[in-house]
Amino acid sequence: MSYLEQGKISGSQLVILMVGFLLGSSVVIFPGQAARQDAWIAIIIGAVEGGIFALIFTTLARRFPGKTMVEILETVFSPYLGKLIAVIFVWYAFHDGSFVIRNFTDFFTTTVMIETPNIVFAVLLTIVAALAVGNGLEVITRCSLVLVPLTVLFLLVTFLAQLSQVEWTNFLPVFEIPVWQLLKISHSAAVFPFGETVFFLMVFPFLNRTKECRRKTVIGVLLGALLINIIAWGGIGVLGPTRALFTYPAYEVVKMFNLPFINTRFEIIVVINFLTMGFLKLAVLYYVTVLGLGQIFHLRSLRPLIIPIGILMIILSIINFSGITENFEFNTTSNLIYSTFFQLVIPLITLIVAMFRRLPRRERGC
Amino acid sequence: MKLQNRLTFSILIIAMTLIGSGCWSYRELETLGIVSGAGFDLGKDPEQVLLTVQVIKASKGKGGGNGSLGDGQGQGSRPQPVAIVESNGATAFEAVRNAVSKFSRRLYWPHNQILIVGKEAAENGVKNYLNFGIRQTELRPTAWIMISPGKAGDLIRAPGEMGQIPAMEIKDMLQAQSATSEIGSFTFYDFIERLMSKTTAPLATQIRLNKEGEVELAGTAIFKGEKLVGFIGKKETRGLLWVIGKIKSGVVIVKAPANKGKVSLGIIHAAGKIQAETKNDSVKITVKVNVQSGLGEQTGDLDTSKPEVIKSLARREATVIRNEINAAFKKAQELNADIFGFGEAVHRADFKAWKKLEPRWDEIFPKLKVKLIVKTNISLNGLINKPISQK
Repeated sequence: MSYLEQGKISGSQLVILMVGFLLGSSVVIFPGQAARQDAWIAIIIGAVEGGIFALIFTTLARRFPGKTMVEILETVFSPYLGKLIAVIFVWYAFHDGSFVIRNFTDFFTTTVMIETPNIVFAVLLTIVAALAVGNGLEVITRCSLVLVPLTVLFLLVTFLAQLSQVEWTNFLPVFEIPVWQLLKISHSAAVFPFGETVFFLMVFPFLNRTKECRRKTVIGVLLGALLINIIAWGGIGVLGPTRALFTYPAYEVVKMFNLPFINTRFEIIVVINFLTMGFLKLAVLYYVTVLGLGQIFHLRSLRPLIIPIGILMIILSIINFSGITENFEFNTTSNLIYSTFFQLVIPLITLIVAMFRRLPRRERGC
Repeated sequence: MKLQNRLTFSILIIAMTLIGSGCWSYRELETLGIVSGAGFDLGKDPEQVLLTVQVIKASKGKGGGNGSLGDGQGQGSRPQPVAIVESNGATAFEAVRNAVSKFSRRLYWPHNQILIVGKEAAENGVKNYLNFGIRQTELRPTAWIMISPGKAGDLIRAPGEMGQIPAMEIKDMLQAQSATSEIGSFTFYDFIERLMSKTTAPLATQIRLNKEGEVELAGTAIFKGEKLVGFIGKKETRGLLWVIGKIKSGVVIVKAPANKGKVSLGIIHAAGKIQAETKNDSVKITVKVNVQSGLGEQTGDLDTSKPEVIKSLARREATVIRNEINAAFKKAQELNADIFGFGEAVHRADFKAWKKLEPRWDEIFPKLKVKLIVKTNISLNGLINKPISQK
């Protein structure tokens, strides 16, 4: 059903898009915070675990080149069961998109513009994302080509600037938390954000060479892990024991800047980072939702879906949680199992069934 | 593009520019009361909070205003560029909001430089005022926190010497302290970082009005948890700063050998390191201080070109430094407040043992024996090589 999406992206463009996606919400809330000074270890382990998820679903993608996840599900399971599972998968993308909107509005109303009602931010972000989605995958990817290097530059600059304020003793003692707890926290880092790369199953068919998807995904995960780690090192090193206090550690870290003549108020850089990366992540999730629905219902065009899905996402982001506390509680408890289902279980079972049924049949044509 | 599309697009762009650029909650400068310094005291009863703020008068002309609002005592004739506002409330947040009943502008905190807490309020517990500061996004965590032995309100009202905004002058004074390194400067954030540790004692600069009514920085205030427990003077503060490595510059006076007057040594570089070892539930702390100094002046006529003389001076300097550190340590042990962070050093070295030691730190600390190693090196002599004398 490639008439729904004509664009093609190259492997390196995929990597950049993926890095932008991973940085999405992590520029302000880096994962693994519960591990205190060992958060960076949790991030590395989480990235490895996310990489394992990636290996599983990229194997699935390579078995069915040119087919999106929805199409794969329809092929592997019977058309009706496949559509059902596809709907569940698309629901996860939709839900995740509403999380991104929710994090976005929470961040802006907590830090920068306190009196503006949530919905203003939600609507503004979604309009822009809708415009991007309406123009297709290539446009989203091209946006990422501009925005991601900019964000990476900002990250590196802020990291170098705060090196003078980093207290290396804040990283000690290492491995203080018990191992099983570290693994649990690593798992939460694996599902947010590394495991969310499962959505790229809908993007892989549009690669120039689908076989590359595995290598590029692993590179994307590694790069994302490195960048998120840089943010985490800044947070642990500069904030030390107070990092547990703050809702948005990356924001507070930049607030601490004390350079001689570039004095204060640098934290707007973190806000810009979140603005751009949040937009990218939402655009990808939005796109996955819309494309998925289009393929499930065999639509001829995606246009009529875009605005309704956007409105529904905004509404879900508002009614999902009653406050920021519930948001965080969900992320640290229920999300671990909820996400694992979509990120690991569904692709794994699909792969096993596909192998079992010896699909795709070699004797068929394209 | 079709006309309809263009129209929609233009409307969207205009709407987004208006909304997205933050015009929603914008405030004009005249409606803002820019706070430059704030002081917290106990209110009418210990449950209330008395807030005194210095608000900058930013008028269309220069930053200075005419007449003198606030106190007429002291230098009443000097025009003050600030207005003093006092307000009461059950909590810090409420006191801030209540200021509106006496003041036409809403307080705007991002330019706040100093936070002063009065002695009684600090002895009662400083957490009341901290939560407001760190939770609100307007207050900057890099504001300097100070304790006054009297009431914070008096210090906020004190006029500046140079006719500038008093809080800025205090801030500049604090930053200039690195010349002697006898006063430590601690930010709001440093305070909270220490407060979050169960054993390390939070610190704040001591600020007071001396007999001439001038604002003076005088030592350090020591807290145990959120309550003020004592003050230490300048000499002990420097002892503390040697250990935590916050000495930037300063002068150490040493008595010359053979009673040949005094020698001033200027500190070029100083670094302090705390190392902890645990052995069967007993704690051994080693403090290493490394100091590089240069010969500043001498009042006698020592021959400073001889290496033995320099070495002797270095040894004497080490003794002076050791005395300062010991003085600080003794005071800390008296108050049973771990101002150096020895507890956290143990934590970093051996967290398993720390789990057992931490609850008993209040018993362990006063009896703690610390091995102090001070290495001094006089590397520079200045421009002259021999003393100025008639020989």
